[in-house]
Amino acid sequence: MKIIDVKKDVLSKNDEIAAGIRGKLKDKGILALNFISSPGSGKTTLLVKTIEDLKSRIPIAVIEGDQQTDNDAKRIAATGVPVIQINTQSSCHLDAAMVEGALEKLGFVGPGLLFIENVGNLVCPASYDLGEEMKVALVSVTEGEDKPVKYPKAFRSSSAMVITKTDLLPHLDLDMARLLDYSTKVNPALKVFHLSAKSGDGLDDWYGFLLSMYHSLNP
Amino acid sequence: MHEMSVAMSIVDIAVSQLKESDAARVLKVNVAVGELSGVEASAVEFCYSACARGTAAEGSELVIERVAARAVCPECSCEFHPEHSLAICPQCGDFGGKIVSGEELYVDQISVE
Ligand SMILES: Nc1nc2c(ncn2[C@@H]2O[C@H](COP(=O)(O)OP(=O)(O)O)[C@@H](O)[C@H]2O)c(=O)[nH]1
Ligand SMILES: [Mg+2]
Ligand SMILES: [Zn+2]
Ligand SMILES: [Zn+2]
Repeated sequence: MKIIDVKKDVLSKNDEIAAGIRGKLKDKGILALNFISSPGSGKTTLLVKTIEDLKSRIPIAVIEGDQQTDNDAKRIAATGVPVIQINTQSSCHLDAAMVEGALEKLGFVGPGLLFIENVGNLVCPASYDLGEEMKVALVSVTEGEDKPVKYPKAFRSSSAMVITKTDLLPHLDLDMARLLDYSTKVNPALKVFHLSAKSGDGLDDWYGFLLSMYHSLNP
Repeated sequence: MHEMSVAMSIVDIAVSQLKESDAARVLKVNVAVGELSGVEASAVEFCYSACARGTAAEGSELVIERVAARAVCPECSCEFHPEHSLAICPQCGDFGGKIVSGEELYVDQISVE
């Protein structure tokens, strides 16, 4: 019997594939964003709205992760942009190998924006690098103040936090200052957006952010 | 579920390390699992043998080395046991506790023959 010293991260294979994806996307001028949130925070709704408003200016493609149905992919497909649905079945997160396969099927040549909607869950998607430029964590105003402290890894691995459904604020007792205080404590570098895909409030800021990132990638 | 893909990655790593050696099969795999890694060690143990079936790691033993969580407070420098990966200092309430251990999730060593 022989003992081999390994010291290899369990997610190292995923990270290698993700690094490969990141390189390819960069070469093609594709800006990829990985959207994570609890189920129902408004990811698909925000994506649909963003696509409708930006598709005439920038090519967009979408990868949809969903455990069972293709309802979200259908909502995206209705906007006319290319979309690939990954049915993760029993898996609670997307991994880099799934995204690599989806990218091959998608045939998105770029340059453009690639939106990846992860499976609705704030736990393990935080650990899986998909080769994205950044993760964007969504929290809807109906979810209370403490998501950032309950799921610190999700908010630490994200570069932006989008507070969604702000049209509902008048009906709620959300302590916004506390939510912002928590998120800053967990990740001081987090860029924060407040918006409502329904009323349209705050969307300009969000689009400005996407466009400036896109243009710095494709000067 | 999540632990299934973790168990599969462990088997993959063990088998690919085996291939780089001159041995034929994996007998034992030691994996470090931190308390804050978000991985339920018992659930990984539960699906490991099913994942190893049909590979050169079939029948191998999985040994999980649990790593306790420790954090150090940047404000008062006290060392403490954080409840989760947001390390809040029990002495001064600072949120910025630096995790020094507990987030590990790696294959430590394998025994082969
Ligand atoms: N009032 C309001 N409802 C919204 C908004 N965005 C999404 N929703 C609703 O929230 C629910 C979940 O949205 P969805 O986009 O499917 O969430 P996902 O699971 O994160 O993709 C749907 O019923 C949406 O209509 C918003 O800005 N305002
Ligand atoms: Mg959705
Ligand atoms: Zn998972
Ligand atoms: Zn302290």
